[in-house]
Amino acid sequence: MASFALPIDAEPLLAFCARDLNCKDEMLVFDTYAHLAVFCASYGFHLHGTTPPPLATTFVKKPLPIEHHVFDGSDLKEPLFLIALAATGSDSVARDLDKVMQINQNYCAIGARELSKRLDASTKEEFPFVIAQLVSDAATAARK
Amino acid sequence: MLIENLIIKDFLSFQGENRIDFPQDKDGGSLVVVLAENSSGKTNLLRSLRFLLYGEIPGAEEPPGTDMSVEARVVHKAAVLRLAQGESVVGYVEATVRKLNRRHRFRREITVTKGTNRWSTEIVLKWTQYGTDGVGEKMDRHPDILRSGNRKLESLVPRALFDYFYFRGEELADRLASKTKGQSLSQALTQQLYSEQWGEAVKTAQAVHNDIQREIDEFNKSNIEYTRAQQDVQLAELKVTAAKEENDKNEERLAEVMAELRAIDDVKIQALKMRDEYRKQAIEWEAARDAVDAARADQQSSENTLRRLAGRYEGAPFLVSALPRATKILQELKERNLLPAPIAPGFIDRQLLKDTCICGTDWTKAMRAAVEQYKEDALSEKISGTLTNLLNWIEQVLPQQIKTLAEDLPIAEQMRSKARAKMAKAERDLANIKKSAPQPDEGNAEELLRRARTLEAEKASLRTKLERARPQIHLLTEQLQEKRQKRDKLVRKGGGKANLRLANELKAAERVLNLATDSQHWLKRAVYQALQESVASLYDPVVMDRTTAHIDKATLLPRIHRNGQLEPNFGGGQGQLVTLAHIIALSTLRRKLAAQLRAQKVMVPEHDDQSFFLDSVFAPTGPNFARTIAKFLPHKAKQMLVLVAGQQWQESVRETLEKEANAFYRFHLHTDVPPTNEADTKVSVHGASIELVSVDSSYSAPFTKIEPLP
Repeated sequence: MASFALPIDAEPLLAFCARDLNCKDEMLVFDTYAHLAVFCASYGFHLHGTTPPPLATTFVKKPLPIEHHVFDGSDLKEPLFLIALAATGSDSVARDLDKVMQINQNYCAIGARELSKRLDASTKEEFPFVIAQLVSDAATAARK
Repeated sequence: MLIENLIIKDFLSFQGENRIDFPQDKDGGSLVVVLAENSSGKTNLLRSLRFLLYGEIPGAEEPPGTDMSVEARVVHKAAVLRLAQGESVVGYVEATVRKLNRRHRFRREITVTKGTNRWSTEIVLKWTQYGTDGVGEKMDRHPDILRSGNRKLESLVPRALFDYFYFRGEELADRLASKTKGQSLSQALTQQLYSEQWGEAVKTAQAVHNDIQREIDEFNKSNIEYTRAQQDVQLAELKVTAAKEENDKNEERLAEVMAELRAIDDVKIQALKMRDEYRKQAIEWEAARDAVDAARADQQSSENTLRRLAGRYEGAPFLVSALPRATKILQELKERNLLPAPIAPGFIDRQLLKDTCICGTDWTKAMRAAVEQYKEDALSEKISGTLTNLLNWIEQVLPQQIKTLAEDLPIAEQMRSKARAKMAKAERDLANIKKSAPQPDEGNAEELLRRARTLEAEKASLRTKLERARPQIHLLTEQLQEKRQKRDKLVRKGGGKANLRLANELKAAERVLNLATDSQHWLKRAVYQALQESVASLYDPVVMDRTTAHIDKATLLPRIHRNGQLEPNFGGGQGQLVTLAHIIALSTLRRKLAAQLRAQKVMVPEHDDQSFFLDSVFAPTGPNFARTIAKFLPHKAKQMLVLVAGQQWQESVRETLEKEANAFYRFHLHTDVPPTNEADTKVSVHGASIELVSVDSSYSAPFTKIEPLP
């Protein structure tokens, strides 16, 4: 069954998910690990563009890879397919769910790495607002 | 005793003739300041005075390689060492003093003569008494009168009080503060205030009374009726005495309670003010804290909103760059009728098996190939659904999400900034309130109020007791009189003339005893109260640390109270001030008391104004207390000599004493050893720079010259 494994670079970001044991109120940004995964993939695509990203090979042990139906139930499937189509430039990828997941994992690794660097330069309490600034800047640029 | 001038020649560390005059201001007062470097002979000045007054030989520095006697060593070393065999040198201390409008000149001199193997010494006292015409008569020509000269000198300043009137500040303050060290001084004070003499008088009167009583008892021991009457008298006497003692005790306690109430009254008012202020500020503080809490809640709320917005839509704006390619693919699928394509492959297969197309046209080869290709490209229902949803999402949902984030995130950020600014301001306000309103000791105020309430209750109770005691004592005294009359009748009846004589003697003895007891009681209370009032009036207004001066009733030594409680260890500035207040108050009291007693025909020695030599009164104090002491000194006594060490001649002291002093002197130390701290050896007086030490390697022995300053 197709699934999404979180790249190892996403490990410091897990504490910002409501499900995580280390998540405090002042750190809560994402509802689930699936939301984090999609966010990182989107940010990775934003940074890297359509050039094929390097293959992600190392993943976190916990949580276990997220099964594809989890994304279905949370309205997260659309961003994943959008990235997959844009990355490959072909509709054929839509017929291969494993490929969709792998492409997104690769982008997720890029996004997570950059976000982890920003976390290191900030504090756990301030990091959510760093993310907010990134999103805000991108949204403003998109509207122009 | 007041000193007109003091001359010291070749004595101790003073070389040659050195003179200090005590010029008077228009009120007849004299304040002389002597500036001296440490170890330049300040203490030797006091030793010289002791030598003059009591003939006490101070210990002197041992010259190396000599076998001089202690007496020979008090003459300045350089003068002694210069002597050739058979030669002599004279060192002396001389003072012209004034006491009770009579002038005297005393000189105690010591002559050292170098013999073959040793130095011999001779000490001589010279005394000149001046008449009202100013003509002097040399009293030392008459050997009998010379002996009285020594007594005269000692009477000028009682030996027990010398350390008190000519003192080193810190040492005396320590002695007064210590119960054991202060004991001898306390005894000297009691003696000087005639309490002991009165005690002796009471004892003697009691003894006389007892003797007569014993004689009467023996005379009447066979008379049972008389014995019973006498026992009644004794019992009644005991009752009266007990009631009076109880009354005295209550009166004394009431005075103490009133004094303590007065002492804590000011502090209590201050404490109450502070408590009210604190309570007012506590409300402000509470409001500021509420404002901080509210600002914190706002900040948390705005931050929660911002955080949740950041994660909402999973970074949708980042996907804008993916849209062109993905949209193109999806549009192509649409154009090829593949999207949406709810046609199942089975449906196509069934159509191909028919002869005609669904539109009724016969199948051509090309048409069949096109339908086959369509079947090949067609998406599964699920994938078609997914991509259709994606297309809808791209066209409708994603722009809305981006719009929401673009609009809401800046607003949320702005709200957070405002909330943070509000929070910072609220915290600043709170900090400012905390800073401007240090928490007062509310507990102390409450404690003082409790103490004041207790004392007020005790005061009321004591007053009631005293009011009740007066008629009671009156009644008991009347009863005693009745019993005495009854006893006296029995005496007349049974004892005849002899018994009557004894009874009259007993009455007289009782009157004397009562008079002595009452006088002693009065004296004790009067001395204590006068000293208490005088010391408090000198000390309390000048200290700014809310301490108050009190006199220990038993020892008559000074004590310091803080907030109505005894301060067990006082020292530093407080110690110096209370000591000064005490000696000044005591010298005044001693003079007034002697005058009053003499007016009552009680023959005690007459006392005049007292001179004071004060050494190191600024030594252990900070600048504030030094200033307070300097301001305290002027006009407190007719004559005062203040010895000030160079390092204590600070601005706080100088600015007052320069204005008030009648004369300045320096102890000019000549030595071959350079001082360790040269800064302390130079002082400024009225703008002139004064050297206290001169260094010259040619000096064979260090010596001091007392020199007047312009």
